[in-house]
This record gives sequence, structure tokens and C-alpha cells, in this order.
Amino acid sequence: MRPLTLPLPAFATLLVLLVTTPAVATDYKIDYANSQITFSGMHAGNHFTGEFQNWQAAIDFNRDNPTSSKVTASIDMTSAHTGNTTYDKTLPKPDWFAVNNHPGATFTSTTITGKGDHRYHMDGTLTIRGISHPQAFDFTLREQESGQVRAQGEVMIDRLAYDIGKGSDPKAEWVSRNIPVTIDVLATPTP
Amino acid sequence: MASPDSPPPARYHSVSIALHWLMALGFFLMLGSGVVMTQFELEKSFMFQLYQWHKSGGVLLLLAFILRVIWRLISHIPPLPDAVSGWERRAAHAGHAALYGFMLAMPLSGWVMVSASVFGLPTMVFGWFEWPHIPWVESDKQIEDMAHSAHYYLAIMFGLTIAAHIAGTVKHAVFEKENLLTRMWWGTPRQSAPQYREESCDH
Repeated sequence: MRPLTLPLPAFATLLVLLVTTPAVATDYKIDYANSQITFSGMHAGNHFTGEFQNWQAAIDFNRDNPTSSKVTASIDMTSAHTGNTTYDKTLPKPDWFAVNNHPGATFTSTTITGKGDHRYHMDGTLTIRGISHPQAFDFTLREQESGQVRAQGEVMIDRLAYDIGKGSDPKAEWVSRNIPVTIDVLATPTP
Repeated sequence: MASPDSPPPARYHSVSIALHWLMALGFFLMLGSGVVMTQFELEKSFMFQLYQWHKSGGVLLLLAFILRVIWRLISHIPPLPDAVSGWERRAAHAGHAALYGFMLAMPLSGWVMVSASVFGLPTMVFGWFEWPHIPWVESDKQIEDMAHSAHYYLAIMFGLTIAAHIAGTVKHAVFEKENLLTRMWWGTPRQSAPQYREESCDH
């Protein structure tokens, strides 16, 4: 009997498909208890830090082919907490986070590229107070012993680009203009 | 008011005296801090702290004013000495009324100003409690500016009225050898000598 032989192109294609990893992205389940989004700044010579205690993100990520990945996040702006009563009562106000009109901020990724050595660059659109701007995030992604992955990154947000404190402090004489926001997310890939 | 049988008081009640001097000190600090925080270039953290103290002091003085008015209405007011003539009597009463007016208008204009301020900072009274803002003027720059002007010009007029108030006592001490401070300090007996005639509504 003649053994089954494939024509060379078909065989080559099959071989390539077998050895390359699938282009399908993986959903990641976020461990919210061990993840945080924090921010910090200066006010009147006083350094402050805060976090958003309530946020959600959907991560659909393929480490080996990041371009097919997608990250979306929504942050409850009413959950901003610094621990300073004066700041926590001011942040929701119309000139700051304006939570009455804009209770949530959102981020939607457009492209993610791998930079090697666990580093990634993510472009996307950030919307705060109804104002949208392209926003890039650089982050690292490391696998933990538990099998979870940890994504960490810091981004500088120009608060004035989103009209935050535009009426009160347009020249950033009181509150720093560039606000570092750090992302620290622990997530489990779901098969 | 004193009854026809008991002589009128020669000095204000202890509560009136305490309120007078505590609030005088308060207003002195308020006018002083107000001048410093608006007329000088200060280090930002000190400037911010000064504003919070100034607002806190304003709230306490407003509450003290309410107590003071109530007390004034129910307590016995010492009549002015006979030696104080007609026009001076009217000027004294008008001056005191004006001072009461400023004592109310200053914190009220300040309250409107913080309520209308775009900054949205709450008024935390020395960190003890939050003083609520007037809701319907929130983030209104026009009202904030108006209240700011009012607060500023009223402060100038208040300062001048206080100066006149003090000048009046100095004038009587120097020219009439009349120490009117005895009316507003302890040491003078509450019951007076007969040279003070009773007035029916001495304010």
C-alpha cells in the first residue's frame, strides 16, 4: 500500500500550524483583593497618595502575540480614597472628578506590543470626566509561582488634559499637574 | 431692663464681658490673618493652613455671634453715664449696631464665598467637624466674586468701626476722665451708684 503522503505545501502549512502557538487570546480573571490602582501628587507642599477602591477590568491577553489582545477597564471615580478628609470630600466635586456627571472613567486598549524581557507597551483611549485622550501604558508582566501573572506599570496623567482642577488651579500652583498612576494587577489566566 | 426699685447695672454681665473680649480677640486674629493671606506672598503649605484656620475661626465666631445676640436680648445692659451727651449717645448706639452688623456680615459673606468657590474644598472647622456649604451657589464664580468683594470691603469698614469704637473710649478717658472700660470688665460692682439714670432700652 502506498503510504499517505501530503503534498509538500500542505505538509509545510500543517507543520507551521502545529509548532506555532495559537493566536487566540486568553481571558484573565483578576484577583481584585490583591490588585490596586493608585495615584499620588502634591498639594500645597503636602505629598498625598490615594487609590481607586472600586474598578473592573477585562483582560483578554496573548503573551506571545500581544497584538490580538484587548484590555478594557472601568474605574468608579467615587471610590477615590486618600485618607485625608479634606481631599476625599473635594475630589468628587464638579471641578475635580465631577462624579455627579461622570461617575466612571474608562480605558480601552487599541494595540499592545511586546518589547521583550517581560515589557509591553499598550496604546489605548482613556476617558475621564467625559474627555477622551490617547493614553499609552508601559507595563511589565511576570508569571508568579502560583501560576498567576502580575502586571505592573506606572503612567503619568496630565490632569489638565482632562479638565481636572481646571477652574480652581489651572497653573498647578496648588495641586501637581502630572499625576502618577500605578497599576498593579494580579490575575489568573483562565484556560 | 432694670426695674424702678433696683438700680441699673454699672457694668455688663460676666457672660457679655467674656463674649466681648473673646470675640474681639477672634476678630483681631481674623482681620490679621485676612490681611496676611491676601496681601503677602506666602509659602504654599502655610498659606493653605492659614486659610483653613481663618475659615474655622469664622465659623466659630458666627456661632459665638448667635449666642451673643441671644444673650444681649435677655441680659441687663448698663446705661451710658449721664455725662455722655445726646449726639454721642446716638453715635455710640449706632456704632454698636454697626459692629453687630459687621459681626454677622463678615462670616456670612465668607460662607457664601466658600460655598460658591470652584475649588470645592469643604470647610473643616479645625478638623473637628464639617461646616456645611450653602448648596444653591455651588461652583458659581460670579457669586464667589461678589461675596469676595463684599468680604473685603466689609472688612475695611469693620476695621474702621472698631478703630472708632476704641477711639471713643480713649476720648472719654482723656477728655472727660471717664473710664468706660469699667463697663466692660470685672471689678466694677454690678449695682451702680445713683448718678447712672435708667434708660428704657439702652443698646
